Amino acid sequence: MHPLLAQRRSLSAYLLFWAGLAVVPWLLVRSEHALAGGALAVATTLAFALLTLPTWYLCRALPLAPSRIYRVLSVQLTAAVAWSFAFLVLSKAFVEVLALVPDWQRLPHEVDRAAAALLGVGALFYLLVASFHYVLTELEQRRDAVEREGAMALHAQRAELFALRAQVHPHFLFNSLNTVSALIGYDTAKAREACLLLAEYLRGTLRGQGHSLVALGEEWALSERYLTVEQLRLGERLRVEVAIDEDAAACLVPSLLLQPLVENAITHGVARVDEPGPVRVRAERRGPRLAIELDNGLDPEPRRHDGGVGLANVRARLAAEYGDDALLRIEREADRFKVVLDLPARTRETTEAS
Amino acid sequence: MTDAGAARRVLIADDEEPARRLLLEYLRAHPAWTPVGQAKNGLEAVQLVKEHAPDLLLLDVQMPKLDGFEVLGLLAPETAVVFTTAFDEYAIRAFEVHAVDYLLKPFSAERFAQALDRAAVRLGTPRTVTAPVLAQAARGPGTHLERLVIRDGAEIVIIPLDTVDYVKGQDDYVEVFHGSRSSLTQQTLQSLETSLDPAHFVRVHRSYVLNVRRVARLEPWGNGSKLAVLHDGRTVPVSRSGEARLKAVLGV
Repeated sequence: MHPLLAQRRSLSAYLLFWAGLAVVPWLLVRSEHALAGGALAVATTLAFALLTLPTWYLCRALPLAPSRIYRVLSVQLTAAVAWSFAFLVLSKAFVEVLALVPDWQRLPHEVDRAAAALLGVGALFYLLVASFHYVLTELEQRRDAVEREGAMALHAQRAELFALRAQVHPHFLFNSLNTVSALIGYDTAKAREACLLLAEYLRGTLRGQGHSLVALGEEWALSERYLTVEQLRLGERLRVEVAIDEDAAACLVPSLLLQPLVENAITHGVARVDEPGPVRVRAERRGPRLAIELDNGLDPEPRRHDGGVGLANVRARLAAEYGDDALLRIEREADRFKVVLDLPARTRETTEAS
Repeated sequence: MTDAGAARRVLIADDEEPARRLLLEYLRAHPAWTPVGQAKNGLEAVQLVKEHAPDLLLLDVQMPKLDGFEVLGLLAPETAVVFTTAFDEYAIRAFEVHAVDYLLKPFSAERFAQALDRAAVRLGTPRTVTAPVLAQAARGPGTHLERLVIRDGAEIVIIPLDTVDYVKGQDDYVEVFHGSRSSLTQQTLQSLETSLDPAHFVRVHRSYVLNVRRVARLEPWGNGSKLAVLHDGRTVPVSRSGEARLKAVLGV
């Protein structure tokens, strides 16, 4: 649909503009009755402005491009010639009507006298219309491009978020399988337990990928399975202290949000230290906010500073879900590493209500 | 090769109990090999190797205190090493440092037996790995060392590189000055320099590599050379070309 017809206000502005331009044919006709000339000029010009609206389709079909500039010019100039005659014909048609007014009988003669000038005006008016429509098509294309870019960015963001979801690390699997392989030799019951836990954890991570938000309690249950598997491997080195209050457990968080933090605590903390102290997880609801803290022991003489990928993922997911309304802070001491999350406390009830 | 009758001694180094027990179980099928000890971290591995002088070390890569490559760097070349790890990205590095074999967890009893066979063939053949190769392997491709692990007499010293003020080279040794201490290690200055982060460590002189964050000012020192004065007042000579490199890093 023509963009002007879609918006009544811009159509009115367009017609008002053309009514102003009617001054040109009015001056050219030089009627002895200014009112008669004016009525003719305004009627003809407005009719012309309305009738040339379909130029929109011509302009769209024949966009301005350097490679076919001659084609554009020849078509548009031909159209200009045709429309200049149309302008004259329109004037004559209106004149027939206006000449019915007793005082205005001289009007047809005055129009005939100005015929050549009116032809010129028609051609120029058409070129003006065509230029206007080229500007319109250009604006529309630009808006489309912006929209398309926006849609692509959104798509890319979604894809990125999907990739950001905690992935099951192959090393975790290989280490766990090695533990199972060892346990089969001396504790078959535990080996079986390890297999079941591993299966539950894997199923949980797969399921987590279908949802964007889950209750913190559920999210933690998944991490707990992971930690139980890791405990079989790391033994007494891995101790976990959990304090998640009931209100906090009911709050919704992006699924698999905690998992990268828990994995970091193990791979960069507990697994690298002889006596790492406990992994502590605390979550508390404070009015409209949810506070989550996770801290773990750290190698006091680090071989390499890493672990940034998991943290960057968590940051990106928080930003995607909450914008500026969520914080991730890191507190680092010589032998402890602490991540503090502060996010809006939302529950299923509040999200459904809103 | 050792005598066929003599028991070959194996030391296990792995921080995970199930992994150690699995190795012991696999070893039971090979009476020619006797386990002589188990280390739970890298430092313990170095100490137990010294104590038991095993023929073979089954060495995990990721361990507390010292990692497998750092352990290897402190061992006498006579000890044969088989790496055991879940990470396959270390494999190339492991062979660069002349490990006998590289077992990817989880591995089968057959694969383990194969590694023992390879070790048996290699027994008595010392590794001939140069310090630069070891240093490269310890830090992995594309990264810089974060710390030095040095055997200083009976003691093993771990020196985080951001505590290093400067390093002085003398023949095949380098002396690492960190805080109020200095430690000697058998390595050339050139090989050490290539493992250091060039944004922080600059070769300012034929015999000196300097931590640029320690420099307080430069003073003229005759014949166009300079003297770098550190924040604690110690001084390090700076040659003409060294001054240019230093200024390039400092961006002045």
